[in-house]
Amino acid sequence: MNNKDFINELSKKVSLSGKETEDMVNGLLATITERLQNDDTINISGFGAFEVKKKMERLSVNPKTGKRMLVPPKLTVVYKPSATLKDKYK
Amino acid sequence: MTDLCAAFAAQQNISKAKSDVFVKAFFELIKEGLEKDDTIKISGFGVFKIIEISSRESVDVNTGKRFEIKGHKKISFTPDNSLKEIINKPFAMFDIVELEDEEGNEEQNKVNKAAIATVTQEKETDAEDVTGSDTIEATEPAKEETVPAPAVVKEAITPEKKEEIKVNDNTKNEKTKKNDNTEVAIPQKVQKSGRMIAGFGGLFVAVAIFALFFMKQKSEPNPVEQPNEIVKIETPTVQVSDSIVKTEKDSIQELPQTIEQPVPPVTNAPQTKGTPVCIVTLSEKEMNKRLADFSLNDTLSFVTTGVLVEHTVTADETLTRISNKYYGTKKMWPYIVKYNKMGNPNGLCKGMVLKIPVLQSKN
Repeated sequence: MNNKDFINELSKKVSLSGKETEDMVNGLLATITERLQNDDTINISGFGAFEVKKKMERLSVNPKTGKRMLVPPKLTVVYKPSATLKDKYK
Repeated sequence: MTDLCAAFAAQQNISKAKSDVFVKAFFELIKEGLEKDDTIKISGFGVFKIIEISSRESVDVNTGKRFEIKGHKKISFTPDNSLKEIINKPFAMFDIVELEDEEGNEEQNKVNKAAIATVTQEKETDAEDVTGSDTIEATEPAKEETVPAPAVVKEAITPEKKEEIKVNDNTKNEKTKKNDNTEVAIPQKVQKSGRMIAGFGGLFVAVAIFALFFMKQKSEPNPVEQPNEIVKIETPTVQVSDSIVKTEKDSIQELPQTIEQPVPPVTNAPQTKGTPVCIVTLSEKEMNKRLADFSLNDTLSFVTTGVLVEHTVTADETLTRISNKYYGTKKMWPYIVKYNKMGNPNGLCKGMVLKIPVLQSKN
């Protein structure tokens, strides 16, 4: 399902126009991003949690050239599905 | 979740109930979509996917029996590039570094890491308009902290940057012009939790020792200031400006002292402080360099006049060590080699009897 389908479905669900829904979604994503930037964990009951995690720097080797690279540390968003959701797919 | 709904409602100017419904619908739909379709792509956020984990064998830790972990499905989330970039902003200045030597040894890695740390520190300090001497002072502790140091420093950047942003918002023109180590240290301590403090404590101690070593009589400002400021900055952001002003004053007071002190040569550091491995290796390199420089000159400036003593080499001895024992300096080993007509200076072995020559200056 791509972004368009998703917006369409959502607009049906909340009975708003496509445009309105899209704006709302963008607003929601902006809010989430802002929270994540502030190092907050976002818990959505029944769905899971979004969290910012720090990945350590590491050495990696290019298998073709054999060159060693030092990959810098970075922050990434991590999603942890809730227990209920996890069980569903197990 | 309620927080998120409230924030979303405020941002969109809609009622809380409405935003609640919307947020719920949003995540419900993701769940439904995952059931229907295996992937969901939301632009500006990321891709949710159901991936299959194939079955694999494992060993029970307690009984040592082999058993099979059955294959199952798992929800994966890959953040969108734009989201990734936004989240990774504090670390955005890092690039992948290609290591030149294919078989680069541990030492080189350490040096590389230290270099990264240095770059980080410099970038930080550049951004904050620090005077030259401060930059050097800031980079040097970073070098001394071996492997853990880069990590700590990098970790530290996050809160600091954030702090800076906040400061800019509140006190636009009050930029931290004169920044010193205390100020660098404090925002970090405030924002990160225990592990961060522990990690940074090490750095701070190094800085403190540094300060103590070079200021001798004036070592008290750092530890004394610290508690006050932590309390201050922890209070709401509005007060951040106050504390910055305060630290600025303090740093101005301290700054002249740091300027007065000459920047220490790297080689001095390890001897005065029992510092980690990295600096030791650095200094050894330095030492070797110097050895190479000096030994040639020295072998020409002395003449050997007779045998001082005969020395039997023991297991853990080296030429430099023997030289150090008899002449008080490591540099004189070439004389021993020459006098004993050793073809290969590396061919020293246990039980060898060396004649230690008496050295007399030509001048």
